[in-house]
Amino acid sequence: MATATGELVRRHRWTQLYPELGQGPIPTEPYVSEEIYQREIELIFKKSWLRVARVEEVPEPGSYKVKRLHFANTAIIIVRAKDGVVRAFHNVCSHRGNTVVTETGDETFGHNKSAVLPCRFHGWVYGADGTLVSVPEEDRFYSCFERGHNGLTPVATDVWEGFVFINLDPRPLHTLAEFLGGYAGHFGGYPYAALTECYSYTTYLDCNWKIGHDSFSEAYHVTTIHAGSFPNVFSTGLADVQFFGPHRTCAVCLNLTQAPTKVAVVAGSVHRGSLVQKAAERRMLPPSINPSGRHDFAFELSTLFPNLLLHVAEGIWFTHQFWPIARNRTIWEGKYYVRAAQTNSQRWALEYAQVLQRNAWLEDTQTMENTQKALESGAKRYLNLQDEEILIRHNAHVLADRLAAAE
Amino acid sequence: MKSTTSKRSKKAVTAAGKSARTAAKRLRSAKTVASPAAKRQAGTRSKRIPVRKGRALPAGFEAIERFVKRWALPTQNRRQARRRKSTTAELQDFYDDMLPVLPSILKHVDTFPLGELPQASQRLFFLALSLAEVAPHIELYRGDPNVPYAFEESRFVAEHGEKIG
Ligand code: FES
Ligand SMILES: [Fe+2]
Repeated sequence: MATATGELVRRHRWTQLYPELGQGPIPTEPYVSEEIYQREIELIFKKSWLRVARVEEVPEPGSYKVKRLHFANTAIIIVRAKDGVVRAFHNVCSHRGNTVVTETGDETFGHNKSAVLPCRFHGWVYGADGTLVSVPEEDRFYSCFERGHNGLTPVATDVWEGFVFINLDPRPLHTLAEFLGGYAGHFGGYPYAALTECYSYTTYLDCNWKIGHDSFSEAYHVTTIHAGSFPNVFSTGLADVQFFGPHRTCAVCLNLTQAPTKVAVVAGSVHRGSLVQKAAERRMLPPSINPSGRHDFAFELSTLFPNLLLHVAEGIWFTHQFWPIARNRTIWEGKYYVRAAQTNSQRWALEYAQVLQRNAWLEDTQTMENTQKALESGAKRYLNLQDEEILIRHNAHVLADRLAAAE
Repeated sequence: MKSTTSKRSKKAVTAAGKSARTAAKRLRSAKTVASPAAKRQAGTRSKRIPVRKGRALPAGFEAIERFVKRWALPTQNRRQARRRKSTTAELQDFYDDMLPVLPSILKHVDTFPLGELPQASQRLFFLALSLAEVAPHIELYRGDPNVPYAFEESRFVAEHGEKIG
């Protein structure tokens, strides 16, 4: 009997470790309800710290990135000033409201040598610290006009481990450090900036942002969804599930059940670029990651609440981020970082690793719009989660609690 | 799709059937028996220049010159598009002849600094990058030119998609 109980404990280990999450099904309504979506935007997305850039994207004084945030009907200029500080502002001119930087898409990059941001319409010029520094024909404005009161509208900005965060709340409830809490300790110390080669993908998905989040938050799907790209990979379950307030993390453990393919062998002998390639030894993972040194550890999978999935592995880190546009429309961004190639053959090996990873992401995204379509039918009121889908359960609880608390 | 390769050369592909071993052997002596094309290019540091003219590969790789026009493509977007428009037979043919010479290609390109390949070697490198694009379809997807059970590939926008190399 002891073994039977032991088995049960093992099979239901996560909900037994976190009994407050319960074991019941979760409602489908948050995936389809317009009202819940609007509340998520107002109470969560407009009040949480959100990753909008890496510091490397704005390397020098005068470098800027403009990121459109559809859910808030705004775009944010993230700019480095001469004092080296990265700040963020709404991309709206104080004169007659034009966009200061002309945007060319959801993300616009640029550099101004003098570290100023001129508005094209009538030539008002802002410093990279947001101050309004010059107004053509300023004497023709009236005495009620004060240059000092008409800088760019600032947005709360802070940086952690090279990740630039903004908070659209004019007076954020928490500092970034408070918001991150124990998550910062868990993921701090990984050499994010040393892995400089970034392969970045984006697409628009006709689904709720949480469908994307959920699909990437479990390894239950590996043997089915990735039967094509990772046929030799068998999930051995999650390890070290932990919650840090609204954030969550775990280790994804995989066994490689067959020898890699011929081309994978060549690529693997040249450079480390693939998640399904055994890492030689532990070099860069901080001690908080895979603390028991499991040999089947593949990567740490986490959600930095609400919309950033951050993963770290030996020699590779990657993110998925989901930006809501509407109840049933989302921008997905996938970024895969590896150590830059030093040689042409390493460059080739990275191409192979990254092509295979892209294909796996194509497999992952395939289900998302179908799931949304199916849920829109209203045929199902609940979704059933197994123990290994604990991160999805945690997300559902955090969101429900946050919306309820705001009542 | 606009092509940056030359007009099709009518010349017979002389060494199409050469074995990988021969290719590797010739590669080892490539420095002394470099082709005229390779000699002309020696010393020109063509950094990230797309293949514009010619189909010549460095000495020792004649056997795969027949793939240059179709597969020596400078960007990932173009390699991906070409793979999707190919038949299973075309992918298999390319894979079968490329796989045995892959180690020699990697050895050859590493005789030059990263991103500083002369034209003929650059072409050869583009072929290898195409193999990276094609290999999963032969080794994992049973010859399917598309990723099976996947999201529409053209909807994924790669930031590096138009980058050369
Ligand atoms: S709207 Fe910007 S200068 Fe007039
Ligand atoms: Fe997946």
